[in-house]
Amino acid sequence: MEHIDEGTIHAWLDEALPPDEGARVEQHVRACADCAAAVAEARGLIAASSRILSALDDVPRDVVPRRVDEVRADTAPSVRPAVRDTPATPVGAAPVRRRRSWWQRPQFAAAAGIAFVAVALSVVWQRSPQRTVSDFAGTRASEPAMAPAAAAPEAASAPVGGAAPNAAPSAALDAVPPRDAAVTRESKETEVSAGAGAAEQARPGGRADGPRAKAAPQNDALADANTRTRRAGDVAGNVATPPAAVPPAPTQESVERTDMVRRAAAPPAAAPTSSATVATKAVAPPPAARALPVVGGATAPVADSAPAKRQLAITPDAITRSEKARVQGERGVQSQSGVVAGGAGAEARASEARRDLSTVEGIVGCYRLDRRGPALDAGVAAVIALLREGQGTFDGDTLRVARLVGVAPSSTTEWRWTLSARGDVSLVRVQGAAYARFPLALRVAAQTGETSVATRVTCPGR
Amino acid sequence: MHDDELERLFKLYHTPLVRYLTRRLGDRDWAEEVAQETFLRALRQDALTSERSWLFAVATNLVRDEARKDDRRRRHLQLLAAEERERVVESEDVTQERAQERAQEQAMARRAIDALAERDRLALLMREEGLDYNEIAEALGLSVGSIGTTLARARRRLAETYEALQADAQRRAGGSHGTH
Repeated sequence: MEHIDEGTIHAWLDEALPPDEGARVEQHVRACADCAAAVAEARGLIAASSRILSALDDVPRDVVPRRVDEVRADTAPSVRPAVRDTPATPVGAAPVRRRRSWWQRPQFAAAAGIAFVAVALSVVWQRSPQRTVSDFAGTRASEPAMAPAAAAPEAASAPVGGAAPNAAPSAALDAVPPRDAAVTRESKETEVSAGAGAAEQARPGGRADGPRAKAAPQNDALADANTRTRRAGDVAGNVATPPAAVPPAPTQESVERTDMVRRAAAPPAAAPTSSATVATKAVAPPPAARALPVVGGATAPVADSAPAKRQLAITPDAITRSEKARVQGERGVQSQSGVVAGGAGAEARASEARRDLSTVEGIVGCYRLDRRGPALDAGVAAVIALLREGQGTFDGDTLRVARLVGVAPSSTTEWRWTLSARGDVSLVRVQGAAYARFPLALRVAAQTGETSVATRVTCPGR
Repeated sequence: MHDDELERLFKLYHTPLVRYLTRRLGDRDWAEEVAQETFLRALRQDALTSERSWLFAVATNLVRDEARKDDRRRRHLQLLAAEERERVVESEDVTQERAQERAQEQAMARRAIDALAERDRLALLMREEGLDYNEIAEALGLSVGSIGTTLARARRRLAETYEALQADAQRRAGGSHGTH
C-alpha cells in the first residue's frame, strides 16, 4: 500500500480534504505505522509553526516616553508619538479592549472623523497653494511670479536632510511671498530648535489663548490672524532660547503686532476640550468666511490684497460633504444638495479657496491627533503642528513638515503631511526613513467611524 | 458597498488581516496602513463573492507592490534595525534577561519566516489566520490541490530553520559560558 504524501497529511489535519478522501486517509493511518509517524510529525510541525509565528506578533511600536525634562534637554528634531503619557490613554489599558470600546462607538468616531476632514482640509485648502496653484494660474495672470523667488533659497536651505530638491520648487510654486524675513527664519528654526519644551516658558501667553477662544466665531480670517499671533509669539520664544542658528532679532514692532493681533482677533475655536465639541465646531460652516484684510498689514504682500477680498468659496461643511462624495464618487455619487461634490467641482472650489490664501507661513495649524480605532493600538495622542514647509516628496506628493509638539521625542519617528492633487490630506509617519501614510484616517472616517481624530488646538510653545 | 457592509467586513477581518500583515512585514504601523488601504478598496467594490480571500489577496498585492520599490524595502530594514535598538532601550524596564530572550525569539522567528519562499510564506500566514485551502488558493492563484504540499513544505522549513537557529544560539550561549 502506498504511503500518504506529506501534503495530503497536512490537508487532512487541516480538514481540507473531501469527506471520502479524509476517510481513506484516516483508515490508512490507522493501519500504517510510518504514516502514523508522519501524521504525528505533521501535527508537531503545525503546532510549532503557529508558535513560531506568534512570536512575530510582538512588534514594538512605542518606546517608553521620556519625561518632560528629558524632552527639553533633547535637541533632536524628531519626536515620536507618545502613547502612554496622555490622559486619553490610561497606563496599562489593554490595547485590544480599548480598540473595541472605541469601535463600539462608531457614531462618535464618525463625527470626530468628519471634524478631522473638515478642519484639516479647510486649513490646507485655504492655506496651501501647492500643486494646484497651476489650476488657477490662468486667472491670476497678474500674480507677480517673481515674488516667491526670494523665498526659494530660504526654503532650499531648510536644514533637513535630503529634502532640498523639492523644497525649492514648492517654494517657487508658492503664490505667497514670505511675509518677512523673521517669519522665514522662524520656520527654519522650527527645525533647528525642536526641543519640545524649550520655548514653553518663553511663551507664557500661548496656552492661555485656548480656553478664551470658545465663544469666538469660526472665522477663518481670524484663524489666520491667530496663527500669525502665535507665530509672532514663537519668534519671541526662539529668541529667548536661542538655538544654534542665528536667532531673529525680536523687534519691538513684532511684539506690538502680536498684541495688536491678540486684541483685534479673538482666537478661533482653539483647544476644544472634547472631540464631540470639536465635531460640532469644526463642521459648522464659518458665518462669513471672508478673508479679512491682513492684520498687522505692514508686512502683507501687496499681490494678495485683491484675492484676499474675495469670499471664500468653501466651507468646512462643504469640504466634508465633498470629501465624502469624492470617496463615493466612483460609485456614482455626484452631488448633494447644493454642493458640487467631488471631482472637478470640488477641485475648483479648492482652487478658489486657495486663491484667498493671503499670508500663511510657518505653522498652518496645530492639531491634537488621537489615532484611535480598531486599526490602531492603544492610540497615539499627540499635538502636531502642520507647517507649510515642503520637504521632499512621498509618492509624488510634496511632503510638508509636521512636528509633534510637547511629547516625548525619539530618534526615529517624525510626522509629515501631504496634500495630494486630489485634495487628500495625509499625515505621514516617518520612522527610520520609512514612510507610512495615514490617509484613511480621513476617508474611512466618514464611512465607518474608523478614524484618527485631529482636533485643532492652540499651538503650544516650542 | 454600504457602510454597514464595510463595518461588518472590518469587524470580521481586520484583526486577522493586520496580524497577517504584521507577521509578513514586521511593522505594525505599516501593516495597519496596508490593511486600511485594503478596506478602502473593498469600499469601492460593489460586492465581494469570496470576501476573505479577496481581502487577503488585495493586501498581499499591496505589500507586493510596495516591496517592488527597492528603497522602500531598504527603509524597512532600517526601520527594523532602529526598532531593534529601541527595544533594547525599552527592555531596561522589564527584566533584562526576559526581554532579551523575547527579542531573540522574535529575531529567530523573523529569520525563519524570511527563509521561506514567498508563496510558501504567504500560504502559511494565511492559513494561520484561518483561511481554508480554497481561500488560500484563490488569494494566491494556486490550485487547491497544491495547498497541502505548499503548507507542508512551509511548516517544515519554518520549524527546521527555527530549530537550527535555536541550536546555534544555544551553542553560542554555551560557548560564552565556557569562557567564564
